[in-house]
Amino acid sequence: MLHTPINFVAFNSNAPILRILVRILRRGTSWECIGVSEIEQLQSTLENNPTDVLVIGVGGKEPYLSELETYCANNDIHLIHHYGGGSGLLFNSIQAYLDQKEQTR
Amino acid sequence: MKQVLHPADQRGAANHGWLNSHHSFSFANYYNPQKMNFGLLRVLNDDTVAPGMGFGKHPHDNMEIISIPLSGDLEHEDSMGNKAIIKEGEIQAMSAGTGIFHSEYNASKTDEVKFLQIWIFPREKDVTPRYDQILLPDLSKANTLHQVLSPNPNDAGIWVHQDTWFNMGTFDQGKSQSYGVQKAENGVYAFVIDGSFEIEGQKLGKRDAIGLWETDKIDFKSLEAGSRLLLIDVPMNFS
Repeated sequence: MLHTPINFVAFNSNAPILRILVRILRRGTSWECIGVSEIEQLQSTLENNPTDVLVIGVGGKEPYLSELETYCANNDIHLIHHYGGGSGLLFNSIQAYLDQKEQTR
Repeated sequence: MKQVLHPADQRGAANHGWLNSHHSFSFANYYNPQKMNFGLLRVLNDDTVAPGMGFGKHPHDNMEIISIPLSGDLEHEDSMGNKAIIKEGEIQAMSAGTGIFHSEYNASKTDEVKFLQIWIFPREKDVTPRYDQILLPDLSKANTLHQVLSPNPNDAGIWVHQDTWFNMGTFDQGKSQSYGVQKAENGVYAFVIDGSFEIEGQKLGKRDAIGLWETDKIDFKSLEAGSRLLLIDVPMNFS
């Protein structure tokens, strides 16, 4: 999993947690991650950076969330609603994404 | 009624020396796509922490986190200023909401601490973080299910931001009882802490579990003296 190239964008309005998420999401040898803490800036970040996976945590509010879900669906971006903060569930969610990607090949 | 059986020896296992953990559901390096959750119950970790060791400061958000010590003392400290020791006979709940950092250590320098940590998806996201810890009723009183957690601040036990109810009890050999499921859309994850039970026709030993849903009650019978059961009544889907 850590050797599969993945471009992440991580959103979390809690800055200390975002820093940890970004650090975790740069752990893979070919993983890149951009962190965003303002939801208003999220869509432009997605539009201007190649993104495979969007990880959404605290602050993923409406109406932005629905718009982002539509944007991700239309642009082949996998959306992970991340709960929990740390890596306990995050790697599981990434593995599930890779499994899904493998099955749709 | 539908059911799923989770034998104890088929749980994920991780022994880090200082931490020996068994995961009922996928967690950390244990990944089984068939065991991601039971409804909105996402994590049930059965942890044993060596004396003086523990989990350093780490974050959580948007999760209801419940800790139930089975033996020993667990020391908790968090970013809201709470510092407490939680012991056998108590229960702790944290609503992580918009974010909380905490640490958990074995408070003893000589004895292990054994505890269950349970994560439930919250009913609503981004709530104000909160911490609570209460003394449970005397669970040693045999043949009674005690409600130890609910969604209602004024109800028995501790409360969380989800329509979930936890009940615990210790039963004599041969004692039978029924449990009424709280809501039609809920299921029940029955986890045998000690001893053995027959639950809806399935024999379960220590740390075995069975998930039951699409039913309004479940019947169980203790198969040996001192058998302890935890029932987690939880929504099967987000409403």
